[in-house]
Amino acid sequence: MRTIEQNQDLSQRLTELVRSLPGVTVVYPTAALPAAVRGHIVSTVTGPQEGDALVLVRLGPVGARVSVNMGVSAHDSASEQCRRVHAAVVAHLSAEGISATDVRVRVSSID
Amino acid sequence: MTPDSPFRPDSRAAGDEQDLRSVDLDGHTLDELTDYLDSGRSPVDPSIENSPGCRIALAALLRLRTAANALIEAEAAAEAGKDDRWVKRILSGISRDAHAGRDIPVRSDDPAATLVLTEGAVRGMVRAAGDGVDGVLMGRCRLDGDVTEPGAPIAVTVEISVLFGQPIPDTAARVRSAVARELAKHTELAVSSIDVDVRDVQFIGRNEPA
Repeated sequence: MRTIEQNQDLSQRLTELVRSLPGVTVVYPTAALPAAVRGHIVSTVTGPQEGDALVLVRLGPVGARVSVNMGVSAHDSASEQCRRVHAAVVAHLSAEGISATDVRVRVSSID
Repeated sequence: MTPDSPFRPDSRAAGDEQDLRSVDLDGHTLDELTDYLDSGRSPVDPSIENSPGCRIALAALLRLRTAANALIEAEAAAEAGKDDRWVKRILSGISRDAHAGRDIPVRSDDPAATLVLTEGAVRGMVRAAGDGVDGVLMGRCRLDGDVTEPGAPIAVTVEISVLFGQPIPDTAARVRSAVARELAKHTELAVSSIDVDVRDVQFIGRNEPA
């Protein structure tokens, strides 16, 4: 079983990955907004911590459950971008030797 | 945008009061979002920037502000202020359409994947498509049907305001075409119809009838 810190490290890496993908305009907090905002405030005070770990990760004995909430560019198909982000997350997990048991990707805005 | 501007949300407006109070913008009102735009989105407010609904509403308010500026340049703001129900209708539509709503599924070959677009994202995209048509301001957008069920027929209805001088049938056709194109590009919805409801014609400045 991995620790909370390991969960957060992986969350940060996945957040950075999703942010770097073409067409992704914003990564939203996946947690309930008040908690997410508190996390952002903490990160601005103490450095890049919770605010940079917006992708929700839960690591269990059989694999990872991941949840991404994001905005995408209107220049390309939102559905296609959704599939690309999913594929990138699964590939990243695989590269770290983690199986994906549940990957949820939500497009909440098309800019 | 001044406090007296017809493009500022006015929750006191009869008939629209409930609409503007019942919005789901993560605790924010359109008035607060307008103030935030006025401040140049600085300092950054994470509770706004981290909210998809707020960001969708901000984008729509910016497009409406462009229309407001055109009005002011035409020195017609005072005239428009005499009857700004259409602006309130647009603002009401922005607030109601921006909330996340239902999840619209996106196909995937991976059984472990759950991929969705929010209804709010799709309505925001439809609104942007309509606003992109010359002489048109979008009102509400509705997706009727079970959007959560792949392949279920979906009837789309958009309400628009048209500037005087635009041929209405042609303008409605261009809106319908723009909305259809964007829905086909971004979603996998089985769109069965797109109805364009022209709610009013705006006489603004130099385009007023003789």
